[in-house]
Amino acid sequence: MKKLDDMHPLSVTLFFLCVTLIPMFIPYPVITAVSFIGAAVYVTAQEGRASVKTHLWVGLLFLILTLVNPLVSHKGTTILFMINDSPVTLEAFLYGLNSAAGLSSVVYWFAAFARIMDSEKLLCVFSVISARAALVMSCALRYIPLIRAQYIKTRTAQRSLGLYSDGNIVDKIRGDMRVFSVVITWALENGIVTADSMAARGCGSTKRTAFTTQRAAEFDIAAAVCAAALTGICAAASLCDRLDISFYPNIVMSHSSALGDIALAAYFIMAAAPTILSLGVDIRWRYLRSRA
Amino acid sequence: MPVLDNRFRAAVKYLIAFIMIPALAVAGSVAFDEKRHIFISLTVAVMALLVFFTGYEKRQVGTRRMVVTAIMTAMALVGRFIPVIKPMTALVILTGMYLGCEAGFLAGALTALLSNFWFGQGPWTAFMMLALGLIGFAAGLLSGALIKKRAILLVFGAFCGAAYSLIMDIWTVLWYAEGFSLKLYAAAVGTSVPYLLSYVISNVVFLYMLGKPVGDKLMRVKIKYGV
Repeated sequence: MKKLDDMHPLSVTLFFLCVTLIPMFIPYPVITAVSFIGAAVYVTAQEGRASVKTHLWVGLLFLILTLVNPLVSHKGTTILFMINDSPVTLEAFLYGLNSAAGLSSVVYWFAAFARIMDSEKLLCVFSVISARAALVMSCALRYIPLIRAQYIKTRTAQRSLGLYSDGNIVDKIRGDMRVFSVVITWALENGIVTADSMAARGCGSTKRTAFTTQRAAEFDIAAAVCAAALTGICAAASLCDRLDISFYPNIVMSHSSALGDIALAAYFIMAAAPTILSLGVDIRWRYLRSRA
Repeated sequence: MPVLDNRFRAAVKYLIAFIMIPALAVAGSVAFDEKRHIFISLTVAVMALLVFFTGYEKRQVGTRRMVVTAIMTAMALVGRFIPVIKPMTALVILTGMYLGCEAGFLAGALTALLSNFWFGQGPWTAFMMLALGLIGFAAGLLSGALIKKRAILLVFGAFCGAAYSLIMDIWTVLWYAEGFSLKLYAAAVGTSVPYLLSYVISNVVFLYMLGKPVGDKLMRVKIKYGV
């Protein structure tokens, strides 16, 4: 058993793509609800107290998205009340609620995804598509701290020369522009030196291959296959119209069917898997320690 | 670890560009109902990005040009952290103007991808990558006129800022509702007016301030080191 954090980045990426694409393309209430709750629980389990900020931000998004639809769309038959002579309907409200759950769950999942993927893992995934573009990305990431350090250095030098004042806004902008200009010249010149050094060591002389320390274990491959298979079940159910819902003029959901129920169970497993894996690893760790 | 070899990449590229994207667009409008528009638009965006990146893999780009593109990407990325008025798009446009279409597209797409790790990653990343990438690409195509006349450059910057915001609103609506609704689109455009203004103003301001100095620096590097 492994946490998502320790799995191969390609498996992690595939899992997150599947778990977010399903509620996006199958806006069935059970699926959006499972996705929302599963993602919220996982983010809480992953970040603990630090997750409060994410919860607040997603909560706000959820609220706005829920309320926009009944205010804009007046379709539906069950009128709740009137605002400015236009009806606010139950159907439009529930439609907004359903979309909001689906959309904000995607924001949750991607917050968890961004937390797991560090630059090393990101480069590993990207190098599958293009090793050269991954190299450009890697260089860009390396240049950020370098540029920052040089910016601070230059600003300090300008200050001690008396050229830089942040007393008034015009002077500050002028000073910032001068420092920016110095830094960009430095960065470009420095880049040429780096590029020559890279060329001297054989960069560009043959096809570029990517290096990564990530190795795919059997568990990672099995997890990826499981995610793909479960997604396949959901897609099949959706294509056979077993997970359909239409809100207007009245809410009509497709009848419960074997395939539909299996698909819902499949999605439940997917949404719960990250939390279960992470809890499982934690429990096992404690158990092993207390015995030793 | 070469996961895909070159011939396979080329095959995928042509297959996607000439068969899958048109097929999807046609099939999407004919066979599927409105509910799947978002699916089709997302797939087309991802495929367009794949076409570009697999193409970049094969292209003979000098090491110097690659590193200079990386530096401009880093600058644009840092630029997104400045609040309200951001030089990000202006730097992507300058990259496209002086280093060519490919560098512009790459800088735009990578800036969107990387900065979203701080600003929130999501399915919208594909659209942002494509939108910013195309801005860089267009700047590369129009580089002659943009370098010669400052007025054209500023108009182009304002246009890109507005277009970027309006395109992202289309995506918001498609994502939120089944099918496209003009009413919702108007609502989305209405709420994003502050963003639209901030994009337009920052592009114009930064292209006005940075256009000449940064352009000169890139030109100098190009001439002096033959990038």
